[in-house]
Amino acid sequence: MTDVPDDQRRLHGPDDGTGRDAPGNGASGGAPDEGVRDGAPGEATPYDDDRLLAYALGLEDDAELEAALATDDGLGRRLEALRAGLDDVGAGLERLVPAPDETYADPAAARWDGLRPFFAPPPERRPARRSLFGRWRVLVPVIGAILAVALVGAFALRDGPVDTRTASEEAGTLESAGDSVGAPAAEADGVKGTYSAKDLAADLEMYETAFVARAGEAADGRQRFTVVRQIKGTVTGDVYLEVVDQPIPAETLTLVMLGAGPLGAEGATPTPAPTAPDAEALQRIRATAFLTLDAAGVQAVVIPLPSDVDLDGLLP
Amino acid sequence: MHRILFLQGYCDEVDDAVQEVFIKVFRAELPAEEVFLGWFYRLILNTGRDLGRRRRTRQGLAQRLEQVAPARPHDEAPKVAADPALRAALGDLAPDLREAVALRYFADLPLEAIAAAQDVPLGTVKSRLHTAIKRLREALETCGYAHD
Repeated sequence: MTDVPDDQRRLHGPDDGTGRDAPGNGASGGAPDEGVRDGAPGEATPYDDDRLLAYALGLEDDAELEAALATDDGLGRRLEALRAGLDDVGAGLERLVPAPDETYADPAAARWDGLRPFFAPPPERRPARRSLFGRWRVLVPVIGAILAVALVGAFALRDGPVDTRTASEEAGTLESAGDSVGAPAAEADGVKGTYSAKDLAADLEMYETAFVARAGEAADGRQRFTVVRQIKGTVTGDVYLEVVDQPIPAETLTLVMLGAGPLGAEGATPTPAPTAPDAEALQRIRATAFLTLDAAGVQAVVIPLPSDVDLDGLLP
Repeated sequence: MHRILFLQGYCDEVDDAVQEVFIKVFRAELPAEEVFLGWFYRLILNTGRDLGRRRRTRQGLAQRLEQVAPARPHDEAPKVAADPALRAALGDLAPDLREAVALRYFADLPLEAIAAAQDVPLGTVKSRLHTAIKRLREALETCGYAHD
């Protein structure tokens, strides 16, 4: 390579690594270097064609050349001719490498058969069904709980304000009644706190004596219960229980479960039961908001029932 | 894309290269918008190079250029007369010079994007463009088709 004047080398940029000669060095394609066109032979002018070309291609910002173009008409004509030459190059490229016709980009064309899978719409997503199921899995218990609360409200309104039990006690009582009248929704939905026939069956296992009785008047800390139906063990006459929490409203139908021991007639007291339910079992039953009474030292559980309870549906 | 791959001159079946570019883009994790152009055209150039390595071209670019050249109206005859020289000059250009020309003329990319696509410094792109355009222009002048 021959030496390149500094003002020309500035325009060439670094070696492109192709092993080819940089422009303006007189070795590109054997054509005479345009840089000496306007000067004496062998004398490079400041504005040779390489510099003009770099400027015309937008490769260099050349303030000095711009200033010269404003005053030098000849230089301006050279730049215009060079730009026209560049346009010719562009037009030649357009002729030699024509753009594909409009149908080339048509994805339905046979040439793009290999891309067909990519153009196909994605298959319908099944997770939509699964998510719907998931949504129902969440909604069903919620709806069940709402229905249970609505039932509680309905029973509460129907039974009137004479009952002085707490709201939680009321809820537990009436949920058990819901089971007894053949409304299994709450149980099926797994709503916590309900007292189902299954729970009753489990509790009956722990008690020696169980019966349905109608509550009588309470007096002197004791309350009378008249047996309506025997379920387990032997009960005769009325049973008197000591009130621990508060008395059951008179005439309320109740389920009474006691520890072991025969219950006598009026005034009889049950014998302390060696198999009385342990504290944990009692706690579970109390958690369902039923009243507990004490019958002469024997733990007793009294579950108020609605007046129209279907005993055949509730009791085993 | 088709014209860039064609002028790059590595592969005969340009449609195959275009198809492969599409599939690569479809499967790729697209880069940030500000570097997308460089990434996209680099992918095009690399696809052409890879295909060229796998399936060597059977004929030179100048021959293929001649095959694809469409018939031109009569009033373009002087220009068309200059095409063989331009075709030969294109065929003589190194592939990386042709790539720079294709990205400049067919994709209208700014110099920085060409540098990113070719993965070379900006100055190298300027040098390549300068060299390539000068030779093409000289080819036109040599065959007598030039502006005064």
